[in-house]
Amino acid sequence: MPEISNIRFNPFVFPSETDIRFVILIFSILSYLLMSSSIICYLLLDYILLEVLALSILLSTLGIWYIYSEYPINIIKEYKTNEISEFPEINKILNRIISNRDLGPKTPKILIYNPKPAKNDIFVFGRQNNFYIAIPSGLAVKIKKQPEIFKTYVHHELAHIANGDVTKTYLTLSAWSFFLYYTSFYFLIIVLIVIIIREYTTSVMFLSYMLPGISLFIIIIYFTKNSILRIREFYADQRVAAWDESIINIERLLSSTILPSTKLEFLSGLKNLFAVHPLIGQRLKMLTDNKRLFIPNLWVALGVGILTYTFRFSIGKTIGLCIGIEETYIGLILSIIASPLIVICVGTEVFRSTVWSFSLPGDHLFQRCGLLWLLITAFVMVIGQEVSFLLLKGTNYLLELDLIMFIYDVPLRLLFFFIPLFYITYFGKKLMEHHFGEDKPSRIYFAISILATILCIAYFIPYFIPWINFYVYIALVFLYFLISAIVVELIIQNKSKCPFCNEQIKESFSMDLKCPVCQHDLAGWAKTFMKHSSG
Amino acid sequence: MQKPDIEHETAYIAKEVVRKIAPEEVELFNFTSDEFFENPKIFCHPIAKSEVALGSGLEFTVPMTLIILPIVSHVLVLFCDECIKTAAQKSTITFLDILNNVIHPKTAKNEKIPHEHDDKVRLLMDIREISYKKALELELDQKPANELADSIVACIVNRIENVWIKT
Repeated sequence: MPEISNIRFNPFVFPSETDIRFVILIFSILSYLLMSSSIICYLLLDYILLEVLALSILLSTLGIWYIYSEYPINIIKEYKTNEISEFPEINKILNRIISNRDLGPKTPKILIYNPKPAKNDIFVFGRQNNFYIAIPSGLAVKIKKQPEIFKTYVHHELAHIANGDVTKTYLTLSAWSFFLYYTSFYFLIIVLIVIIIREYTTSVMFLSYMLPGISLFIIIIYFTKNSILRIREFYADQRVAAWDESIINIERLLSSTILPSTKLEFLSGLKNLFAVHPLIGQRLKMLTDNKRLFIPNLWVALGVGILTYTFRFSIGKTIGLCIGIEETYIGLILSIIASPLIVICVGTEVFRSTVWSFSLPGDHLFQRCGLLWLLITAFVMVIGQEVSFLLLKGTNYLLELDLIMFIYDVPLRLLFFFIPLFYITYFGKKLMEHHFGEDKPSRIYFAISILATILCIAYFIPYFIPWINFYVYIALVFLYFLISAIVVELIIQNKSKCPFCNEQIKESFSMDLKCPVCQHDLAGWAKTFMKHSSG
Repeated sequence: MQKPDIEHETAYIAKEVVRKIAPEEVELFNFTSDEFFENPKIFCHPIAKSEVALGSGLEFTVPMTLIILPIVSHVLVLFCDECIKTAAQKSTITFLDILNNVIHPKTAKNEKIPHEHDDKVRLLMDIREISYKKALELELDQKPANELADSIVACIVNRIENVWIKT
């Protein structure tokens, strides 16, 4: 039986950072829709929440889908692209570059366009396996002068297709465009309703109360959108390096285009939050030190912390007011709804980090996600919650703050986040062993899980007892862990498909895995990546 | 001169300049010039940094064709009438001599330029100056801007000479 530390796992079978942020975005938009619908319902003084919510979700889905489906047509029109086949010399070289990377049905068509103001970059677009790479004519003419640089540019775009970035990116952009239209339209509707019902005092009070929640959602959605657009670049660069079996080409390309940055690193970091592309320096750093991709991201932890509380508080409050139920009851149910978000986003990062630690030579278990990291991650989530708490409750909260309750509250929340992360880490280890069929889940694993659950319940009892049935709470906590387990298993099942023939593959963690049907090396580029990291 | 004629002349001269300065762009010249003539105004300013969401996020150079076309177009619109007028005078000194005086003013300094050709020299010098300034405006560095201005003058002179010989 091989030792677990000697088995080389493939951490790329997990959802990437891009996927995680995409989940946060979708969750934020849905939460925003829920909250905005309930405000309309409250102002109309009618209990038609479900109808308004269903309508806004339906309209939003249709709206986002419409913008998304129109993207390729609009880009072709706007950029006035031309088929590359009209330029035989360039076409010949390009076809050679593309055919070397076996993308199967995802193989893109190449278009060429003349640069225009603010439009001078190679980029990929399209949907449903009809992908296009648009090349500016300034780059196309480099094909003979600087063939290696040209090849690397094209590889970078092909990497976006291979990484599945195109759909996510354009859905993100569509969602953001729709979100802007929706918000403008929404405020117009609110003003109209207020004018019609003439309940100025109540309306203004209610709106001013809800405005911080709305603003927080807008901020989260904006930064998540930018973050999605930035993070995918790192993965694309990594894939190019793996295809080339060296980082030399991509490093040379990035180094040659380094731009003068501001002298104040802090300012340039802040500026980066508003950018849709990472700084060149960051991309270079990630290339040379790619283990950074597998360290749980604290920004994600902070975002999830903010989001879970905003979701619970804002929506609990609005729905509570709307349908006349006390906020706390709804808040608890909403907390349970938001729980899988912690598992999907932060949990996946922790789990992936565990797998990454296995993939390194030698016994590096928990090196990248040790208990300290788990604690830090959980603590950052607590900070996120407290930040949103202060923002939503306003400065009055600070004045009325009960310090004893606050001191009690922080470790409680810390534990609330830490336990599932801890659970996922051990769960992940055992799940991998189970997938390999080399080891049966050990008794210690179950003991830890049960202990964790009991500990969690014990900690929460005094917090919830005044207003909730103890047995209901136990059931909810168990449900919480059950959801966690199902989500992790679903993630793995979903990623176990062969990307070439869609065949379901059970042992997707192995670095030596080949598809039994099409015989493609499923971890080929990940192997190169690992060699690169450990070398 | 009519607009189509100016467009035709611009395309012809610009293609010659491209052939000299950036021969690798000749294959794409017609594709680029067709779009340029559809809406020349948008290419008359430097092309700002790209904001394409799914792009590489890197800076790209603008093809020389898109710098040459606006400059030649600008110059021809300003000087077309004078060029034709100059060509029609059927001067005894070839345009290459005049060009030599423009491009190499130091070597030509000691030579006495006939008075009647001063206007032509000044005209070509003006063309060169305008081309150079426009190239700088389009964010070309000084050295390539100088080379480009020289090539534009040379190609315009060649073109005028060809027209003059034919007529």
